[in-house]
Amino acid sequence: MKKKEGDIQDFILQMIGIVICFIMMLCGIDYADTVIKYNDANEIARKYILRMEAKGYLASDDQAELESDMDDKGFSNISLANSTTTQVHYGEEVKLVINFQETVKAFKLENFKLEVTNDNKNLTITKASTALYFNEDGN
Amino acid sequence: MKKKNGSLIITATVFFTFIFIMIIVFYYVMLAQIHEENEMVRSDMVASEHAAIKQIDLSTVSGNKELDQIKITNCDDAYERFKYYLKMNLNLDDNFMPKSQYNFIKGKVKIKRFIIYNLNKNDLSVEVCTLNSEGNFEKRIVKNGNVSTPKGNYIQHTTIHACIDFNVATYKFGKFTGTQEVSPSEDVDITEE
Repeated sequence: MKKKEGDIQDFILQMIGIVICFIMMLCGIDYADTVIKYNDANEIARKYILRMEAKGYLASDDQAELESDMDDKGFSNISLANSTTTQVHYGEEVKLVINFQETVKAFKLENFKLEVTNDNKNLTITKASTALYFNEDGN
Repeated sequence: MKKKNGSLIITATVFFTFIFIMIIVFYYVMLAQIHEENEMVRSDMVASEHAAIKQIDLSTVSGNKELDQIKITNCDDAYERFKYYLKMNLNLDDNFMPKSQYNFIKGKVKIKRFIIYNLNKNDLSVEVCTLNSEGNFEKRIVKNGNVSTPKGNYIQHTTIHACIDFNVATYKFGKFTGTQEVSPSEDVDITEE
């Protein structure tokens, strides 16, 4: 059966529509994924800064748990340098600094070929609060 | 096979309806995202206001004095502490700009309001210290009156009210980033933990 001109026009229009929708979805999903991961890291940081408020520092078991939580979310090269790891008194600053690497997918459309590359980005999330911890001396 | 009249119109209608539905879905996902990010910022604001409240003299807490008697006497120091902790918690640089491009905050964070309410339980007067546009505090005393924060909470203890303003990213398409302005505000009462 011979294809008519109208069928070809319909087909081209549908294909253009599908390609546009596909690109929009990829960009949307890609961006949402990056932001959701960053928010996940923020949530983890918030959880541990609350523990630090109560204890007055980031305890070693909490450090291990935090690293495990970050690892579960797909982050790598996690470092907690410059965080408060020795106990402070009531009202003093407790600080949590998480340095980590996040793998970000990048979509590139070159020469009608869609390429997906993985870029490792170094990120830092900081949280700070004041200790609610009182020691036996009442400080 | 003979082509029916209007088939192109039907195809175009289906196609644009599909795109319209996609835009609606993206819009609601975006609203949910803004809501979640707003909640995260509010939590960080509360932590920062708590830190500002810790500016009080420790000796007034460790004695047997009641929390009702505690006041924030140095508003400037409290404000500086609030700014410091806000920058730390929202991951901002010294110019209040986000440090990371992946931060959902886009552009500068502005502090719209910062008000300290010091309650005197003896005569139920409230000293209201409001940050003005020049960055100075204006103090006024409200005697025997019911004072409430802009959020509508009545002052029962010394309280800090803060409101910030910033843009959050809503979508990103190539180099184009859509933003939406949000203005979360929070009250922190000195008795809250």
